[in-house]
Amino acid sequence: MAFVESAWQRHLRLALLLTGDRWQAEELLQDSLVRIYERWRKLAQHDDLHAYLRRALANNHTSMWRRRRRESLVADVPDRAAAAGSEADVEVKRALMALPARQRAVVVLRLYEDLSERQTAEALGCSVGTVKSQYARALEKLRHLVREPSFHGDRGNR
Amino acid sequence: MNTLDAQLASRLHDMVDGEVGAEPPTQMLLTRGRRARHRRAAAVVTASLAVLTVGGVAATAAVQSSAPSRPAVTAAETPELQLVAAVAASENVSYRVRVRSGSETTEGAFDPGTATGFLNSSSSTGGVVYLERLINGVRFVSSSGSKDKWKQYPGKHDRLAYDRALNSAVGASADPKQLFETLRRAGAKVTQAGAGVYHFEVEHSGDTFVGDVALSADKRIAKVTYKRTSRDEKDGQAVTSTSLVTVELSGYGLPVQVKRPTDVIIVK
Repeated sequence: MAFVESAWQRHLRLALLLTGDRWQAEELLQDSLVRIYERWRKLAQHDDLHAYLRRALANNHTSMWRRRRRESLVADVPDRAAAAGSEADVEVKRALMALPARQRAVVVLRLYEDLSERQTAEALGCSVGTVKSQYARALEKLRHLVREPSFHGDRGNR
Repeated sequence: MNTLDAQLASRLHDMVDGEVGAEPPTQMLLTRGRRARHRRAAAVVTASLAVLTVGGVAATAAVQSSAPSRPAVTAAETPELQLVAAVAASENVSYRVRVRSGSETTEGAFDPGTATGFLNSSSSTGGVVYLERLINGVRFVSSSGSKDKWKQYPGKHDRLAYDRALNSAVGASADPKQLFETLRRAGAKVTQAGAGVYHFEVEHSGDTFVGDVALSADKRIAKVTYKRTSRDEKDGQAVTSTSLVTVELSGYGLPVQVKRPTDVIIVK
């Protein structure tokens, strides 16, 4: 139970960034934790359970996204008390949610979890090359979707 | 990391770092995990769980069939069977419900035949009110902070989300469907505590439920009060937690009509 408590606080925010929605984030995190519970006897020996859970979150979310084929949260309505974000944050969030699940996962793992390309590849079960290409495509789309000037000021720097 | 990377990383943190991490729904996760583990075990050990879950019913049938040969005490007169009969009369029929647990209260109604109902939850300590409407299995969720906007969630659902409406530690067990399953479990100790009142003690998924059931005049479940005791391990230490829950049921068989929200955002 100690793991659940630490994992819940630590990974709920990651789940929120992946899903864009509190309800779905909690569902995703619960589902992933239940799967770990099912396999606890084997996984208890795992070197880094948090890394395992992170991988489960990213992959479960991608699977859910593929099943639903297309995910479009068209507005941001909190179903619990939540701090209202700035307009700019809402725009970035909307743009993030417009990305395919895999690209979103790459962006979130790289930039929010601060994982290296190699660690991101391990978490998603893909090659480093795939991470690089998905990340580049994601950033290009985000540049296109976010109108804020600061997102367009470094085109020449890449 | 270039400017855009840094901008994005900063924004991602801004978006979610202020999110208050609610208490993890530990009990619900435990229950779900145990069930999932049981399901896996059941696939290997053929239907052993099925025997457990229907044990109460099977016992009922067995005792009832042998009852005529025991003239001193008929089966229908034992407290266990009277309670099982009341549960059976209360299941699979529409109801009105009011659940209280700590500072949380939820009121609603549900018709399992049409998968239609609603829950309105609130807390005596204030805070956000959770609102749910289920219409032919389609779930709509809103809250007091949503300015009457609703989210429509994908998929079909056959029950209300009590675990969302209440403190998640007790919510699922307060769902009448699950509560009834608990009451009819094999091994439940039931004694008569008065006219139409039964005291029960039962273990379910490692938790202990002790409480009283009051029947209505038509021999259906009218009120259940129980104390749920959960034992877990935290940092190598045994931890016990308890919760007190009151579930009041009424309006059995009455139609449940729920108005479809008008301002709806579809979550695909």
